[in-house]
Amino acid sequence: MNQQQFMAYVEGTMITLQLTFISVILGFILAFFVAVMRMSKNKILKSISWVYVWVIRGTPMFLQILIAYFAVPIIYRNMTGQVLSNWSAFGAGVGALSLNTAAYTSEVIRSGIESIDKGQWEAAQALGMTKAQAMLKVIAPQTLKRLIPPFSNELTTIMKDTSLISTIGITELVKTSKGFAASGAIRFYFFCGAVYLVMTTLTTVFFDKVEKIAGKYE
Amino acid sequence: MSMINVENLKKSFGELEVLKSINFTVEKGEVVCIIGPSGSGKSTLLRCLNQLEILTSGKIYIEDKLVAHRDEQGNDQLNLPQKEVINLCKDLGMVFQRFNLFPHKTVLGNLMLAPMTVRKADEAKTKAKALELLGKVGLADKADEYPSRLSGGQQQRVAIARALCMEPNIMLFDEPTSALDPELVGEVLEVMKDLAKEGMTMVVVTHEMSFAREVATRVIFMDGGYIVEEGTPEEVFDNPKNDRTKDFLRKVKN
Repeated sequence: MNQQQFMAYVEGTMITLQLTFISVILGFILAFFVAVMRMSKNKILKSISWVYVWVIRGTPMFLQILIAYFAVPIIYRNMTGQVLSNWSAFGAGVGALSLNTAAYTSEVIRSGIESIDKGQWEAAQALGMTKAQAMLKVIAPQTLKRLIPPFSNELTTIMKDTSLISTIGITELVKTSKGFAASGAIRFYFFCGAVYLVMTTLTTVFFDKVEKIAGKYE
Repeated sequence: MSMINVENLKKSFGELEVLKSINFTVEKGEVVCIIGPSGSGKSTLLRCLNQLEILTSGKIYIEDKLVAHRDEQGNDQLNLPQKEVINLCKDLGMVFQRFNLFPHKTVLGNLMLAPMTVRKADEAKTKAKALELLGKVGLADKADEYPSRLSGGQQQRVAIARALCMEPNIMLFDEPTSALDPELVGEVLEVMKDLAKEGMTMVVVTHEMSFAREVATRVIFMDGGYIVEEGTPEEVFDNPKNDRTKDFLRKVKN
């Protein structure tokens, strides 16, 4: 590997990491709201979040990326009559990944909150806390701890799935490798795999540590 | 002023009517023990008092303030916002059968959480008060432990101290010793006896007949969603008038 190739790998890795972290952060914030909607008593909010999760989880992510990049600008033009300028592949990719991870993560958050013993809500209420206070001080801290393993899992999944964004023209790790391997130098595929393995392993080890620290009360 | 006044309280879960028509009053300083077979509605009654269960119809007054009122059709006559209901019930403390301590907080943290969250109380003062209460229930040395490290009896004593840290005027106990190993029951009952001696108004749902006999100022026997009999411990235990009470007490003795 020459220096130019090495620099290309550094750049590809950075793109992969950027795609991953921006998508995951946006996705997890959105997931929280979707989970709250899903648990709300309001039937409309509940239905919207149900349909959202149903559609996203029931269709391929690859298709969602294609729709985000190719179909959204056309739909926008048909509806408003204006051209959607600045519609970048990076933005569309992050959008698709965020929406995708939000659907999965919202279900994880919801089941996490629902897994907390009902007695915790009752104790908080009996001590005079409002629902919001109970959620913030009693339920959420306990839920968060239980969410660390599935969060870690989702993070590594998204990290690998960013490779799909290469199909809309983003040169991340896989596309970088593909370019170098095109002339028969298949070692670049394996090197690419090694980089992913290092990133996913580091993520897993990091969150295992976080879980141990967060679980000190057990 | 009555501490608790319940008028014609009814509670159904779907088709099942658990409380059929409950009327009772608790005066300041009374220790009322509610006894009766499982499924007689004792716990539901207690849970209705502090709004953990929403009554189906009737009226509940806490310290002469109307906190819940639904007509025979079940329509809410007060329509109070959640915050107001919680505020009206702030003088009620509750101890649960299964403790329900907050596992992510230390013992001290369990005691301090509600005063600091709900009342925005001063941290130093709350801590001093919490430590004093832990001393009172004999657990001053456990302040920094997490609940999972404590025995059931210790956890329940922490739960009592946690409720007391909100300075309630009335304490509700929902079968506080039923989830405990037999050798741990005594330490919890001792704490409750001390509390009764200090003049705390208490409503205790219990299966501990000897505790009821010794500590209660009044015993209420419930069966099938009704208050069947009530009176002093001597009246109810030594001279029960109702056949169902007699039957229950005979079964408990054996």
